[in-house]
Amino acid sequence: MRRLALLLAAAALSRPAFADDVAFSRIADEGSITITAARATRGSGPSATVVIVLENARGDRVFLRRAPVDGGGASYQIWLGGPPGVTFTRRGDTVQVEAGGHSLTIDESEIARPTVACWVATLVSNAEPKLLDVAAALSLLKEQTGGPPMDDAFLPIRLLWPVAPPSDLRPRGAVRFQKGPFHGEAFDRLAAAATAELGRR
Amino acid sequence: MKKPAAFAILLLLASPASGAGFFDGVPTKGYVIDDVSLDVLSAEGGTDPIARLRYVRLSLDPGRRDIAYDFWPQREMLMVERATGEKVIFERLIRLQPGSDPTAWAPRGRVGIDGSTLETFARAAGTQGACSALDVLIRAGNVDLPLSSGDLSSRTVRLGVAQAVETAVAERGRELVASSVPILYAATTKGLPAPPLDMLNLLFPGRAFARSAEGLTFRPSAGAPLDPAGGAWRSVTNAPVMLPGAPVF
Repeated sequence: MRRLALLLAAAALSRPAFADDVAFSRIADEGSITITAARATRGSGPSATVVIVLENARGDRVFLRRAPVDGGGASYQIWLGGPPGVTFTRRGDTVQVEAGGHSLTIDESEIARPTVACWVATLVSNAEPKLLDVAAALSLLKEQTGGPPMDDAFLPIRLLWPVAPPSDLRPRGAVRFQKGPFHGEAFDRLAAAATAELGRR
Repeated sequence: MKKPAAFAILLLLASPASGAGFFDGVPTKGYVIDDVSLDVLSAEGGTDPIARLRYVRLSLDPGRRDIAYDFWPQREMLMVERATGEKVIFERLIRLQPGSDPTAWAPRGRVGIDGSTLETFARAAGTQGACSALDVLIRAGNVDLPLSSGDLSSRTVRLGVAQAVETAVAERGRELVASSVPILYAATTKGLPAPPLDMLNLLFPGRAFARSAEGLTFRPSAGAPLDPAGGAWRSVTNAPVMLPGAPVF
């Protein structure tokens, strides 16, 4: 028994310290809409760092990065193309939204209030003009797939749903959610992009 | 990492009021309806007034005669000059003729302090987009902050307004406002109206100003009334031409 425990401990220690899990999923309609997601995770629980890269059929990418912050709470970054994009730092029930060198502190439960929605929309759209459209499109697709709920790492998207204008995306036919694994060069590149952002601070 | 400029979001919130001054479009000539000047004495302060007050209500001449006098816009000015020489004015505009554009911001209330101002605007209808439901605009210094009057209980809105006000008005100026409010409420017993202070609910949402002042007495002002067009008052407000009586058509 003791030998077994030692073996297990040795196995655990021999595991690379930065072993990252990468998982894939995909949302596609019966037309041209395909969104592939690579999700890379380092660590677990509240201290986990998570990066999600969403890529559409044209190769446009949206990055979401969730990481713990000193003193508790977590920061959630979202950007299109390249950082810094918009950062949401959640501490308790307040969220600080930072974009383009400006910031705003909001009570998360008040995001749907007209004033708060206006302020957030103005801040976000000045820094990332297409981000509200992206949030609206993801909201629409999420509604249609009935897939798994968007978890904590998707906080920026969930916060922007009530703020964003209705999406003009028009899916064709049924929209389906698929879980990976998927294989191929395109997925490897997506996984590499997600993993590369895990270590960035 | 450089700390983001807190509150700078407010600068981004462009609005149709941007560029338009509070007094733009407000008639510059008015007929005096009410005019009360008081000296404020403190039980502990001897015979010298601790503050001087003047309340003026004007019927503003709209420059046309198809509007009955009773429906002319009005401007109220509630001036406070402390013994230290510090000045603050609370102003209110009512009955302004609506413009052709219901989405345009119309001036409502103003607090003038030497070197800084807080102003409120309102509009009858919103525009398109995420900010369409907002019916109030607060201008704190050079920052425009639109909001919905239904959101004043919101913690986020209160924090945002407080930050804008703190950025625009120095601590001494805010203290001057806070310490003048109980004097003005006490003076309502002498005929000074409280409505010009209503805007404080917008500018300081959630803040409970003291309304009672112990040991104050008032007497009709012994000196010349405070003159909004004179001296240092010119840096606090934009004085109208004040005419006695009523217009002769």
